[in-house]
Amino acid sequence: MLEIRDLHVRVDEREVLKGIDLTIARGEVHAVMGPNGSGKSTLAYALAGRDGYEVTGGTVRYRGADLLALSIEERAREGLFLAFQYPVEIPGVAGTTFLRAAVNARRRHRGERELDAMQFVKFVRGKQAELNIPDDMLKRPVNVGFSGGEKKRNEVFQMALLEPTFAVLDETDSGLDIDALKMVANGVNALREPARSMLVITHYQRLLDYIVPDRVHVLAHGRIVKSGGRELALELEREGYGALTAAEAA
Amino acid sequence: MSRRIVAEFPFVERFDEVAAGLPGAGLDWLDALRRDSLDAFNRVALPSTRVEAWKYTNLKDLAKTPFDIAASPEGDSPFDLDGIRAGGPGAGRRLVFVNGRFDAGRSRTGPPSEGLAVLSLGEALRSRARVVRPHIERLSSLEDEAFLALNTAFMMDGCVIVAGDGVTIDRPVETVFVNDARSPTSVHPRNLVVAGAGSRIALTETHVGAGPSEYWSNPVTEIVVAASASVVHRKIQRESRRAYHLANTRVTLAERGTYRAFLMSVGAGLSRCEIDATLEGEGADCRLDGAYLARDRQHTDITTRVTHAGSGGSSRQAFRGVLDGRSRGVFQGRVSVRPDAQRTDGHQLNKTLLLSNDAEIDTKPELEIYADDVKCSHGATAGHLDELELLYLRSRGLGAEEARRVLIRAFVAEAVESVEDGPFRDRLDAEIDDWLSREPPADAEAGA
Repeated sequence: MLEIRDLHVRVDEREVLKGIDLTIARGEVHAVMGPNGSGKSTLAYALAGRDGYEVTGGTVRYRGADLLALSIEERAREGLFLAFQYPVEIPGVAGTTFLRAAVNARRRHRGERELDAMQFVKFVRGKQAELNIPDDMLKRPVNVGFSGGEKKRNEVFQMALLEPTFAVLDETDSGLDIDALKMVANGVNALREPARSMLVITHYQRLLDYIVPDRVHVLAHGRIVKSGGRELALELEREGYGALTAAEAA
Repeated sequence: MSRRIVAEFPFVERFDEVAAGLPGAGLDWLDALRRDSLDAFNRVALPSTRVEAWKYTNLKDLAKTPFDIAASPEGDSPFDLDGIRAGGPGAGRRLVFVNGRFDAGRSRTGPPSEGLAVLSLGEALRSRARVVRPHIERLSSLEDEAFLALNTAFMMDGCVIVAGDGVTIDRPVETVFVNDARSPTSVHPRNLVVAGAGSRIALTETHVGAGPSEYWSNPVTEIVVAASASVVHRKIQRESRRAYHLANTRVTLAERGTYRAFLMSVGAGLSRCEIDATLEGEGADCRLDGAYLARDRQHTDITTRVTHAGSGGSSRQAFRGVLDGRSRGVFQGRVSVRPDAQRTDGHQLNKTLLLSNDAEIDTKPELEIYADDVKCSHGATAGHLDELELLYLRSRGLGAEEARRVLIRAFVAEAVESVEDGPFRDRLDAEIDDWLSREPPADAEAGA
């Protein structure tokens, strides 16, 4: 599904990712953990194609094609989804307007008929309940005035609507209390299926109690320093990042 | 460099001949007033950029163009109002002016109504000179304002609304000014709105260009708001790109009078819309909002002067603009609070979105406060589209252009939000969509 080889990424003249290798097979959920500043979000943004995240080396194959050759929107239409760590507030753009534009962009790309306003309301309704997205939240401007929990729920809600093939969840747990965390995790788990892969980026093990990954990778200083099964997350929880990152720095 | 630009416009040189064909010709008081105003204009001439209020708007290209007076349209002008999106929906009163002349065939002045007169200036000068005269004389005696003086000297047809005390107009009166210029010509429409005590009036003003030539539109609108009256005034300036549009709106408000204006400035090569409002009575309320959209080498200037003379008045101003290409925006907003105007509440905000590195906004708030118990504020921002907002939209599959458009639209929408009238808001939305979808035209324009 996704194959990252020796990926180097530079941001503001500074090399942040220094050779990432990561392969995620169809239907798998991988977690990338790491301390602050290790390059986790850079990896997420580089995959999404954000300007200023300059790939200086390496390759990313996505479903057999060169992901890095695609624009931001082409990646999205090809089924890549990034759940933002800090979902962006967009004043003046109503949630439904935004979501319908997004869903229809994807449908056009797939050669499907676009949904009109009525059809869209029907399409959305079923998915609102699972993530506790009241109508009011969709009428308001995108993310404006939303609480941290609402923003994260809104990200997972968008993911449910866009039905991505590959989802990157960037610290979707940050800033959530335990109830909100469970709700978001349930939303994500409901989307797990054999044809969909995910990359879950997190600082804390806690999220992985709810979204149980197939593989765990530890990112430090722009490299993956250790990979393992789920137990690796528990090990990190016990011993902290200190031991691993110190070993890497030495 | 001098503070004056001396121009030799053919229509000014031919004053006697031209004036004989203008509305009200033969009325002694008006003939005299026109001549005095011509003298005033010749004395003050056009302001150069050395004049502080004109620092950012340069009239030298206007001064070089050999403008004559606009001629009557020949035969039936080929445009239809729907085709140029000049007409709103509904069957309210509509006054259409083509090249400064009242076009009765395209107008609907509506049935006569108790206490209400809606008519052309030409007709008003014939049938209601007593009502019209004091207002025209008063405004024309004001200071040395070149464009006011010129307008008075060459005053052409316009819309007159006189509402008696307590009269309410259900539907806005629509006024449409079409300029079908075949050679460099000027029009000087003059409008007058007199809202009696407690009356409620709404009017919309649309300025459009239909002809191939450059032209100069110099409209003056005087609005008198009596005690507790309410006037809602909306304007769309969509002149052709070869046009100069230099408009003056003068408003006076008596106690508890309210004036709400919305201005959308999207056309013309060079435009300046001046709004001057004086809150004379106690507790008057003035709100000026608007949006300006410009691209290529368009120049769009909005200059407001709000004077608080009575106590307990409030004024709000919010203008938003989007500038692309090498366009230039100017926002000059002055709020003056006279010594007696205690408990004044005055706020002003100007926000501009710059879509290119070559676009420029000059924003100049001025507060002059001579009373001590006042609340006044002003703010101005200018910025580019937000990179993260664009990323967010594109990461959901919206194309780069679509994402840009969504964000620009949202920015302008916040200005339009204050408009309560649904059909007019639809028209504004249509203007914005049209602007966003239009490819930058390659044709020449005024000032280029």
